[in-house]
Amino acid sequence: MTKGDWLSRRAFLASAGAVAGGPLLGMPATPSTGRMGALRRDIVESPVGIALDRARTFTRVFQENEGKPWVVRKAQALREYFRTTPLYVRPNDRIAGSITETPGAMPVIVELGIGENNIYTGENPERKGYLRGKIPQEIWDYWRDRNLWGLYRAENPRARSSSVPDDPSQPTEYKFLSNQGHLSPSYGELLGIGLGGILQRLKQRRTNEADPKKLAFLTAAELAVTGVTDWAQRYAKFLAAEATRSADRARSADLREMSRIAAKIATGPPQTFREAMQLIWLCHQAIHIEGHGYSCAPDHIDRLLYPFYEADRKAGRLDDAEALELCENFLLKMKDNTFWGPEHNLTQGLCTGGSTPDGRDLTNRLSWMFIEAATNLSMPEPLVWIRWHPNIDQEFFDFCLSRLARGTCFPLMWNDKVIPEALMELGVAREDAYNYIAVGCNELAIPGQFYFNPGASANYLKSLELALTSGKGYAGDYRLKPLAPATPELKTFDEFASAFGAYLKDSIGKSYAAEMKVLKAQIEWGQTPFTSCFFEGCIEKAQDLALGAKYNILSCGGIFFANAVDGLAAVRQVVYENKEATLSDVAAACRANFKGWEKLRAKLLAAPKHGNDDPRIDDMIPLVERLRDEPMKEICRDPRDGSRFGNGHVVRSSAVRTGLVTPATPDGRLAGTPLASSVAASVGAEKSGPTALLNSVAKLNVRKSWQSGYQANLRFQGAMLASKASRDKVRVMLNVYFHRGGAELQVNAIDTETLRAAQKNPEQYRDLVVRIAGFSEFFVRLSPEMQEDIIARTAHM
Amino acid sequence: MKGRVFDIQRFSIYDGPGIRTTVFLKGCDLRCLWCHNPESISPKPQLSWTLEKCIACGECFPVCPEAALARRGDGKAVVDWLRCTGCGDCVKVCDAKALEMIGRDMTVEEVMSVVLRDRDYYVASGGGITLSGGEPLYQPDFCEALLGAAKAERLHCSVETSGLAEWRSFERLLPVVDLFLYDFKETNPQLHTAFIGKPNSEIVANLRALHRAGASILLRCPMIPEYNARKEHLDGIAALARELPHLKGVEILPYHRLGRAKLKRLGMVSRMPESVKPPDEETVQSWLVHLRKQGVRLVNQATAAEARL
Repeated sequence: MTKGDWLSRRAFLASAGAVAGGPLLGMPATPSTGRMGALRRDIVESPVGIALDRARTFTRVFQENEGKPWVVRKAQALREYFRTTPLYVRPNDRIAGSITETPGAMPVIVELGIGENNIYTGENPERKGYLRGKIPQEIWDYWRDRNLWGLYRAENPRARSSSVPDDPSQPTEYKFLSNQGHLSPSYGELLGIGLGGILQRLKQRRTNEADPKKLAFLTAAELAVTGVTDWAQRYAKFLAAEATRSADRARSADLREMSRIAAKIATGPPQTFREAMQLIWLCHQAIHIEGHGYSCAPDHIDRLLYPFYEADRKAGRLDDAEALELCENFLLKMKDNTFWGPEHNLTQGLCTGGSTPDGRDLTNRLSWMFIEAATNLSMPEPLVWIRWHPNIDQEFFDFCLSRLARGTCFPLMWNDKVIPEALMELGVAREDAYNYIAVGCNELAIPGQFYFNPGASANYLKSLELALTSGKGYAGDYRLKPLAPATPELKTFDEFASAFGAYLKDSIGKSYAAEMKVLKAQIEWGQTPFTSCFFEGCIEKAQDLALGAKYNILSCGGIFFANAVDGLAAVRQVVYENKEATLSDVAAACRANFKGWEKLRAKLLAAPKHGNDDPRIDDMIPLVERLRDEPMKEICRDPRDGSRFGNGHVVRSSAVRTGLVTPATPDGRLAGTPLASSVAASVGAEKSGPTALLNSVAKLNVRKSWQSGYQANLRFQGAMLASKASRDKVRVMLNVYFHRGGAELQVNAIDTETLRAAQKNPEQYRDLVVRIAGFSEFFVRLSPEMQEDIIARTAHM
Repeated sequence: MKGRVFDIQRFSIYDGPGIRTTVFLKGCDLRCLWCHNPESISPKPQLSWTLEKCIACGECFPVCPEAALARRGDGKAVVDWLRCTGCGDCVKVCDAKALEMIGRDMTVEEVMSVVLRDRDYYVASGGGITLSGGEPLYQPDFCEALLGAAKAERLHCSVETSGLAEWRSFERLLPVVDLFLYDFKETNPQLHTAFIGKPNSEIVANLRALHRAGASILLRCPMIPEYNARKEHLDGIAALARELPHLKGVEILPYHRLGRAKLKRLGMVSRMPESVKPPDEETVQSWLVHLRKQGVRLVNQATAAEARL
């Protein structure tokens, strides 16, 4: 967009009912039209529920087809579901395709797992029993040993459910409810040839194919695509019938239009903006129904839809008010997907903007519009991202920051200056690397080419504990063969760091072994033939994306990086430099949660901490990176094609949740208190302002060590972003951070007073969204501890 | 060359153009009733005490040569400010940092090593370094040396001053200062003495001289309800602005109570009644309107509507 467009842009925002550029903090949701407001209310306020239709259909079809290839049974069940499931259209909805009768109800993905492991209760103890008594016994019984979790357990009898990432031999549990998720299908081809064209490709590919496995995949994919086509055609009839039933003339006309569009895109390619959006939505929804849809992102939607938008505008078929309403509608459809109603988010993402490999700005008018739509709706999901790059239109960037002042914490930001290069480091071609997209909390993917899947993890804090206790653990209950010299023999800091590294390597090795077993299970029982049609090479190779996409970069995760960096720095200063305590003292103090060791705790707390741009610990970040990366490179390879792993520090609510059950740590942190999220500073450690924090984060070597992403955050008082003068300074600061090589950033614009007020009067602050490290949530729905954590993070002013 | 510094604040965005680092220097000859940096007044290092941080380890009691630390029932230390001489012996044993010294002697190089960590931000935003206090010109040699070093690094240099210093000191700084943030607190000389402890004649004379010398000046006016927030003073500000046409502008600084919170930690008491409240938005607006009507160029960055957020 050029500068000349500014007035018209203001005009369009004003015409759509939004006010551009004004002081906006704390404003409630302002959907651009009354019907989007009503739809938002229906979705956001919908109670928790479970939708059983999918579970019943899948159970029946799987039972009827014992003995057939798994992938074919899955596709048969999917097609049967699309052919029989009752159809719904929400009042005021202008895009067809809903996952369940009521918004946010959970369609249990029985063939993966039914919550036998405790991911839901682990993330939120109040969810305990959600499924109890709500799933018919015969469904439980049938799937007990037949779904991904059951089949995995049969092969790995030691597997148990665990919500504390303490034992590295236990796998990542969410995969057994949602598969790996974290993917972005590529919809470019779909928009060109339609579902009919995809079906045609599948049929052509069958010619002369004799391999039964490949034929099974092609059969499955055909069944699935046919199912979605049938679903669209059923919608066409259903919407036509709804149109005749509606007494409201305008609504009736819109339903007829929806019916026309559904019939058209059931097989053919779309020609208008709304047709294209409807086709993408229907397929995206089908991908959720097929595979759960955890942390899914609908390609670069602003770029894909832009030609349709432009053509419609030229032809006079579409004005900006209508386009903005449809963008809001699309975001509402995504929110509608979220399970457990308003209590759980699928962390779906929507990524806008970015640049080409030669630095051309790809931001277009729809990028602006989706951000405006997200601001108007003020919802925690979908997460809305932009991709910063050196040639970003600074006016667009300012617009984004001004929207942050409204308190939604969107957009979140990735940096094109470093992410593509980091991906290229792992063998991704340049043009593909620049097509990267955000999925999930802070994971990365490339639409149709690479999806995120954790394959190992580095347990920093346990490794520190073991190095401090000769491998026995604070409670003395670790029966690990010592991998390093006993603690009293660690005479220098380097020896201590080596001991830490030995235990870290052990945790990486064990978690890798466990995750590779899960990957094996995913390859067998986690196939998604419909989704695979939107991944490059799957149709050509006639194989599911579980067997490998164009790029297979599994990730080695790590959590609580800052606590590790700070813990090592504190041990170095207190034990080795100042000789004020021994390693055994530190271990005893941590074991006692510093009771009786207050003096030592004060000394540990006084040591330099990550996040303050403190040159005294500049060497600590590369040390931890090295101690993690060297064993990772040695141990971790993708078994499908030998690809190297990337490292990424993902987050969810784990910084608070895991903190509750984590003993005291050598950085002086007390047991039970929150841990540091991703690469942010430890809670309360950040004392030198935002430039110091950003400088500290920019010291991480993204290209070599953080290819799978990390997350950093800043919180500002809203006034700073509402005022143009101070917002300009924030914008310049962020430009510098990204130029210096920071990979990611999120900004929360909320003041402490507002949060305290929200604690006192939650009813009045139901719209207040905060981002907790990796995800966003309504503040008033957070536990008191998490609320305190948000407040405790330094507010920059 | 060492200076006595009591704080270095990075990402300062309200003390001059762009993103800045503000270096706070200790020592001030004024005694403003509403002082918001009471820790800056004394030129000597001084003790700060935060009860909440005390872990009752008891190590400070025996090291205090004046027996100025009393043990509470829960074992925590309380400072007897009448006995305390500010020697700092207790601070050395206080790992919990309940007892801290405010004011540290730093070399120009030490200060610059912190300042230069944000150089990229200054370059991108047209920012730089601001000296504040206290009254930075209380340490004129250090100011000149530090700003000289900053100028050599091509940083934009600002000085926030009360205006009370020898003219010679201002003169020395002229070549290295890009912008003076110059406080003007009260028009009426008698009231000035009553509120500030010194007459305003020297302050106004220095201002005129700086203006004559071609310095770039922004006039900053703290407005305190019940004290200087009167029509006559606003008119006085307007008259001064008319008299000094090359002023960059006038900035109104509405009273806030941050300074009050610091007093207890320093063993000081407020000389202004607690009933004095920060002005509401409407009042601030009325000041701004009053000044604007008289042609005063205001540079208040945030409008009152924004400040409310």
